[in-house]
Amino acid sequence: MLYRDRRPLLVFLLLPLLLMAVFLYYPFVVNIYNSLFDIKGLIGKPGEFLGLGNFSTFFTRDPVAMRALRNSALMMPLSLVFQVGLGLVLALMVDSVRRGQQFFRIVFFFPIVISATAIGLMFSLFYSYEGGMLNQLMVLMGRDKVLWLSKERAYTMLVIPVLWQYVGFYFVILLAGVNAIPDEIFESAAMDGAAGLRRIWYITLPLLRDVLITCATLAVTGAIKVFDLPSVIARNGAPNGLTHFLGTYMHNQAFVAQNVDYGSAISIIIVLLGVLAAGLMTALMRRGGEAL
Amino acid sequence: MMSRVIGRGPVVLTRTVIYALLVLWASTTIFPFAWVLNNSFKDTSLVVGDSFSPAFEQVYRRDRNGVIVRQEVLKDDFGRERYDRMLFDEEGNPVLEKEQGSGELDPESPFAQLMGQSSFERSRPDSELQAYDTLKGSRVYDSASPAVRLSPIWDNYREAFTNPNVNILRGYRNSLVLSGSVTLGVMLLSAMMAYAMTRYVFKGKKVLRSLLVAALMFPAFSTIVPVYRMISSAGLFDTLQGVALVQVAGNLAFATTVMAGFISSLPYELEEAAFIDGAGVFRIFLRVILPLSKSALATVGIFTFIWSYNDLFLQMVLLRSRALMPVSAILREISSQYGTDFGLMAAAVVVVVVPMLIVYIALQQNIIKGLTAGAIKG
Amino acid sequence: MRKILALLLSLALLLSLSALSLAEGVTLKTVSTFAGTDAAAETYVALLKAWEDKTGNKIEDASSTGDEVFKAGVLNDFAAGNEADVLFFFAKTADSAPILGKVVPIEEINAAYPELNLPINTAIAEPDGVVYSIPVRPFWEGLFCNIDLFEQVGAELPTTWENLVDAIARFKDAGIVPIAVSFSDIPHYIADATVLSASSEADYLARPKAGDPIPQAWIDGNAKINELYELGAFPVDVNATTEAVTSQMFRDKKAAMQMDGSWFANGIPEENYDTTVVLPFPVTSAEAQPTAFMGGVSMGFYVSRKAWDDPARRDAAVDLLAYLTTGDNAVALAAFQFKGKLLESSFEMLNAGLTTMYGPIQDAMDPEARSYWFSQIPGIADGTVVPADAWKGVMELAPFGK
Repeated sequence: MLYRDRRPLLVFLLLPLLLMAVFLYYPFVVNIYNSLFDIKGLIGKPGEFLGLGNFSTFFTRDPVAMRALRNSALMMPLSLVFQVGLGLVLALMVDSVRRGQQFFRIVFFFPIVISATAIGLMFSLFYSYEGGMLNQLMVLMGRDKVLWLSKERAYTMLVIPVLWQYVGFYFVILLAGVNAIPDEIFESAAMDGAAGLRRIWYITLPLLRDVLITCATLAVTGAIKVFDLPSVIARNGAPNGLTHFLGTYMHNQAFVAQNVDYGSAISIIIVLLGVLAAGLMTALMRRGGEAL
Repeated sequence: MMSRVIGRGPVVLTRTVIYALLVLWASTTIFPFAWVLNNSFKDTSLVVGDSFSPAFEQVYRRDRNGVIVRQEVLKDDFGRERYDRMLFDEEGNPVLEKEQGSGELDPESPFAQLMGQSSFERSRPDSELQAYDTLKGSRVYDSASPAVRLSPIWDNYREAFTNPNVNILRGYRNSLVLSGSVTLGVMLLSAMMAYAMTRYVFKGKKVLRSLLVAALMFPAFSTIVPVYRMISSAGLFDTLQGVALVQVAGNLAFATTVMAGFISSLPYELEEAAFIDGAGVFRIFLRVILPLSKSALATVGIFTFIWSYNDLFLQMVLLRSRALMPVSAILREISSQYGTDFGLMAAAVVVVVVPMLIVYIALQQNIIKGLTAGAIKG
Repeated sequence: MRKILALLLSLALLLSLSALSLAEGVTLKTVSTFAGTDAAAETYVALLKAWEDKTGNKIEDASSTGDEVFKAGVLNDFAAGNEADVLFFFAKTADSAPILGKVVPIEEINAAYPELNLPINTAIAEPDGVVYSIPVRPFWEGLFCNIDLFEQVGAELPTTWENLVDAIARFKDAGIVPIAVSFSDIPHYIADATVLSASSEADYLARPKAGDPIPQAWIDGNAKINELYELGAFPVDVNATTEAVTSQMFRDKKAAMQMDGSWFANGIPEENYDTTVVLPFPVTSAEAQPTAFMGGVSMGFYVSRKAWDDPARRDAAVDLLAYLTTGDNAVALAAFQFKGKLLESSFEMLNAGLTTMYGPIQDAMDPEARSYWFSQIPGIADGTVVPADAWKGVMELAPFGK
């Protein structure tokens, strides 16, 4: 009866929906429209109709784009394994020790608190060939200097800080989840003879299922948004455009090369990739859920 | 007391190993900052040459002959700087630059024509006295003046705070204003929307819900071009308000999802009791729902703040004036404009990081509680 | 209680007063490339500050290093109506073409403010013959050489391609980086210089439309980048480092050569003026002219139409323009402060090339095509991209119009 009068609904929904309509849904649709026409410059009027031309360029004639797609797509499983996975391992380990929980909780979270740009700067100080920290270490150990951002190594070197930064984030969430599991469950498990890794597998993980799903979703959607660290550490997808991510390449095309239609097309591919990954994850979770 | 999760039993991981691994990871998060802190007290040449020596070791600048460089150069009676191998003519006067054949620009050359009014600055009297054999020679320093120190120094910090191009304090203010208002806006609006969506039955609710899920999939990249146009035509370009509006819209979907998950779990009886006491919907929202959802609100607030604070992309596209740049954008400016000044960069990182760390350590209990309360439920 | 109230009230009064005094002057938006390591960056900031103090107006400045991001940002702002009031920006290039309708010709300013008599420099006239901006800084580009390093390894200065190749080998043996450059950051100068040094005048000035063939010399020229790469002429991390780092290597005498512009000369430390010289990039074909170099004026100060049409800001904007572009201030911003052998050798290059000064090809190119061209340079260097293919891709984007 309290909620039968629907007039207040307008008050509650108007402002947020208006904001989202103006700055999210409308531009999203316009963006799709833009990707079908030739547009020069951010404010350029749609010119020649290209249809899906931009998309076919992306998939058939632009090696940098394919590389960026691969880099971004690969980022998803990497985030799952290293951010959420490592976060989980650390959470389980911290939960199992008595002293220093507080300390680890503070210290592991450090990298999140600091702006990604600061971390980017720091890592460019590490990777620099002349005088970078890593090469100073190599010299100290009597080894040859290494080109850390070489063609073969650059992607790995870029992914490390991105992954490293968010481990603590998932660690904190997962640790709270582990801490929230009541002691009695473990006690009764112990009586049943479950211990060690078996206990983690059969008791802790199933109980953490919801938290893990939240973390996994955050990690996968975070993976397609990667932008700031690579844009600070490796200019223009250095070396040779090999370390572009979809986000940095989109920025490069739309805002630097003034190729707005192509940038719009890339951003649509970003969305599609996200939807695909989310769909895949939901499917996996459901099957996993039945198995558990 | 037995440990809860991993326990004893036939487990490979002993406690020592666990601690060792934890400390190992902790060192990966501590060491980089220690390294940066250490180098922020050094001159760039030293950061490049020897970044591992502790900054409290005193190191002085030396010229190419190994002489310690001092702040004052020895001057002659005419106030001219002395060099140990200045070029002198027979009468002992320093040879002027011009007389060494410094050359002239042919007035016929197209370049001279381009110069138009502006010309080379060449009439400053003492500038012609800069003639010295730099190949082998060097300045003669006034041994009474203090030596130029490379470590430990405060110069990097002085530069970070006084350089007109990189005003970090102002950057902090901008970051606080921007991320603070975005956070408040998102908290309030997402609570309103979540409340309406969980308590009311209305047509189009299903559509709205799937729109929200869809919005979770829209990264800023996919809306930025039209958003840039709209913000511009609304006169909000290069304003913090413009960035704030876009960030609020971008964070609402996630925040509403979290809030809705939480509010739907709240017992309906409290609201009913308030209603029977004569409270209206808005009163109930403000006095019952919001206080009950504190922990979820905190979650939403913290997530939003972290994302907004770290969101370089929108700031790069929608802001132009230096005076408006938040911390992340300022740091990017520093790296692109002073890319080789490692000392300055290290100091800038420290200046940006330390206040955040202090706030974090002071509030970490609340932050962690808030961060997880909503996330675990939702 | 009353005391506190009184205190609060007076505080409020003070605040509103200070707000009033702020509102007296106007606020101008400015943008320029006088920022970062530019030799005139500090001068520029000081000049603006002095002008603010003198006039009581305020300036919101958004200067940054003049890279592609900067160019695109200014163009986007113009297109969106967010342009600055007074700006230092590129002229006579593909970049300035879209803004000409939105800036005020100098002649029009002089007509309204005859007492200012602002200089009209025809060298910076746009294709329509109109001068829209006031240059303060002509530029040249050349190959900077650390002559002390050349003496150290006993190499001749790179006046010819053979000398260059020989010097590279000697530097490599001595552990000195022969040519400092970052292809991931600023490949611009070498990309242009290798084209010029392989082209006859006609070839260099060719502006083929989409579908037309391009001069073979352009392809051959860029191919030299790969040849240099194979000789080990560049830093190990040439495709991953930044320009700031490589420039520092040259200034620190850890690298022997760098292809760059006159603005770079300003950043050479004073004690190196006599050990640094600049030369035209050595020619690589018989048709090319050994004295040819790139130079001109590519930037000037503009007043935007938006500021001009706003009666409140018009006077202030014109005043600022005159302030920055005339007399000592203009000279200070030109920042040709270097001396010694460096200045001498630059005069030699300029005087020898009386009739062979050319604008860089990239300035005539459409941004999308140019951006593509530069993105191919790292690949051309390490041999993963064939120069002919790179140019084919550039031409598909119609760099000089359709």
